[in-house]
Amino acid sequence: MSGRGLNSGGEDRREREENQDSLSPGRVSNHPDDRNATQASESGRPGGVQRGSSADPKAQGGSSASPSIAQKGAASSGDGSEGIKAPMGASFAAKQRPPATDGLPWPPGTIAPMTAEGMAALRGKRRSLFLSRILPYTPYIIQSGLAVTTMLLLILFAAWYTSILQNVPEGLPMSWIMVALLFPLTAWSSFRTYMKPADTVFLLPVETQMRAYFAPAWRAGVMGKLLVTALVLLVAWPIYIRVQPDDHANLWASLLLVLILKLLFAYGAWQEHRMVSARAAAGFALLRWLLGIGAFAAWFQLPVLTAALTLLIGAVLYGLILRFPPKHRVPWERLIAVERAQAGRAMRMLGWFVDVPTQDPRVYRRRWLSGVGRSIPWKPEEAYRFLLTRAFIRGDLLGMAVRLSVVGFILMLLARVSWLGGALLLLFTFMIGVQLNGLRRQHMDSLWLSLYPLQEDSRRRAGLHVMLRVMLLSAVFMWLPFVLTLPSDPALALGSLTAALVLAWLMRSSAERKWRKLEGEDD
Amino acid sequence: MSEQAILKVAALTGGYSVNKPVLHDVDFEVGPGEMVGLIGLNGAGKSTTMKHILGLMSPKEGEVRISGALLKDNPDRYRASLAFVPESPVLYEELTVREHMEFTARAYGVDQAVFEERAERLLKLFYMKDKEHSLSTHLSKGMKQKVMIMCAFIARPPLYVIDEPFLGLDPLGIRDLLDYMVEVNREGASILLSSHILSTIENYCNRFVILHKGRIIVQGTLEDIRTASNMPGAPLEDIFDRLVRAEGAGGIQ
Repeated sequence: MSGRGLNSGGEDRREREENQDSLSPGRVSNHPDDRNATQASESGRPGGVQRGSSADPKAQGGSSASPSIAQKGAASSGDGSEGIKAPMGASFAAKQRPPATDGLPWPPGTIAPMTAEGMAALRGKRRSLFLSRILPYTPYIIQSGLAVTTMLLLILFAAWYTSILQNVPEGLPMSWIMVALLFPLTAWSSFRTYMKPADTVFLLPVETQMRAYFAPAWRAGVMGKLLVTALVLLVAWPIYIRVQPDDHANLWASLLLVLILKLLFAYGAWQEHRMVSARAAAGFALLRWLLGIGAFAAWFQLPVLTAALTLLIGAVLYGLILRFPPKHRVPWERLIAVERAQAGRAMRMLGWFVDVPTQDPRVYRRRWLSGVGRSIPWKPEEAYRFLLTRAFIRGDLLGMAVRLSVVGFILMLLARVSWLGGALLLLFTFMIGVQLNGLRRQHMDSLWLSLYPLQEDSRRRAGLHVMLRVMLLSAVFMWLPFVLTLPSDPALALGSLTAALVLAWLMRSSAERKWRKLEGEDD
Repeated sequence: MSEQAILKVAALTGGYSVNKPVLHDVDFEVGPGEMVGLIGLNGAGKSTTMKHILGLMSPKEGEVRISGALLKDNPDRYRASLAFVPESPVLYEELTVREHMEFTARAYGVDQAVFEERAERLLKLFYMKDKEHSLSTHLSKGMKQKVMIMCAFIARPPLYVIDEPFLGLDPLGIRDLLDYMVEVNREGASILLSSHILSTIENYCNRFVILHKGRIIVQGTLEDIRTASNMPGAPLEDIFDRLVRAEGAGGIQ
């Protein structure tokens, strides 16, 4: 009897509190919406599955056992699913639907039944949760100048488009341009499943019914890209018929072709996810892109009958060979990994405009840089610099700095003869410096940085050190084209270099002031 | 013992919210060269106690001293006197196994030559030599746990705080960890260890602190605890079972 006391509510609550305030920050979500999602997904346990009529004795056994399973699940998962009171699969009735504000067609706190409708609603709920994380940033993105830039680009494009239409250049290889425009958009397939690692536990039991969950992901994945592809086709079409007025390719037939290919390739991409062998999946992905090129090349290059026949045979063969590789019914781990990457990508894209918490830094091995950081003095006050340097050479920031430097280098090759070259050098050094301010946020919530005997200012010092070095290196690299003009115009060449180096140093000082201030605020 | 205790937790009351402390008047010490087992059910307050020792949480009442000093007196010395192995591994995705150890060695001021020697030995001991240059994302849970353990032993501080180290470790890993703990113990380091594998730690710990619902219900050597629970010769697991169940029913009669 005393055993019962051990698992009393107080204990569970404390356990949950411990978990929530766990050592790795932000690991457990305490968001009320998340809790709902967890409840819903928890009904994926065997007891929560509604199977046919309740006259089935097995089904009755299943549902009578379910409350205890649910409670055990709640206690052991420790994720704050406190609202589990209703028995599994209970009280889902269309007439009891509450206002749609919650996003689910049953009262809050009810366990979602794992019917097709329930599955689709679960995905819908997760989708709106994701959007609710993204959408609040929209105003900031618009403020960041994206709206103005987009409008400007649209106006420029419209002007260019009109002039092209009025005066089509001679010998424009339009049929190949159509292939190049359409094949990537058609072959490109991705699906947002919003799958979570916990799904391998809670949704695995209803694997056979996951089709209902994936259907909306599939539809959304196809529809959006189909619209974009059709739009590109429609925009390019007027130029195409001006260049090749006698060609057989007809707009409606081309649109139909885009639709069919889109569906076929989306089916193919989904089968790739399901393949057991990652190598086979990669091979089929390559095949999909090649077939995309082949299909449009056939359509725009071959006579109509040959083209139709080629396309038909190609599609049938592709459909057939897709059946050969062994597949999982539901590729859980791959879908979860892909979803994680896609969510991360969305957040990183937001990060171009606003300061968002990026969850998973992307890590690249970059073996060729493994020597960098070896020479950092072996002293406790430089220990964090070692960590930061290693993190920098394997992170996104380095890729960004290299891309900007290469673009800057190429521009400098073109612009080195005038003062514009110098201005561009300063602009690119400035842009790299702005991005490098992100070094401050590296390892902000690291457990080890608060436990290890590191000096309080070592994070700031190391960040500024790396920032300055990277800025100086990239400034000098981008300046190299000026070496060619050094004999003819030494003032411009040396002046640009000096200005860029001074700018780098000024940006470091400004970052130091800013970081100190932010540190004060953090404390 | 109180004079030279490495770790002294005195009348510690604290928790996540000020009004609802998880720990109540927790009071124990770990002497030099001692291994003390902190045991209790899930949610008894073991991890919370450890977080107070690490300085991740501040006590509402009472204090934690390492080698006689409070964290706020000399943060650098306090931190340098202590290595922590968390219950679930916390690693940098950007670092390899060896780089984790190198970062630790640099931070704790371990000499480079000493580091090379220790790292070599630990990597071999824990069968991680072939994973030395793998990024931490490519490691299994048990391997990640081994990285945490190796980092702690690279530092060689006077006090180790080790939370559930056996979770996910393979049988050889568990044995090697225990042997290594005995070794550093002999060299004078102290260990505070929490674990649920009572039959294992029974033979290794000098003393035990049994926590229940945030309070110490009994502490002392295995013999002390046997006497207190009136169970001469009984294994720790049985004593723990009896003590904790009795606590639920109002204490041992």
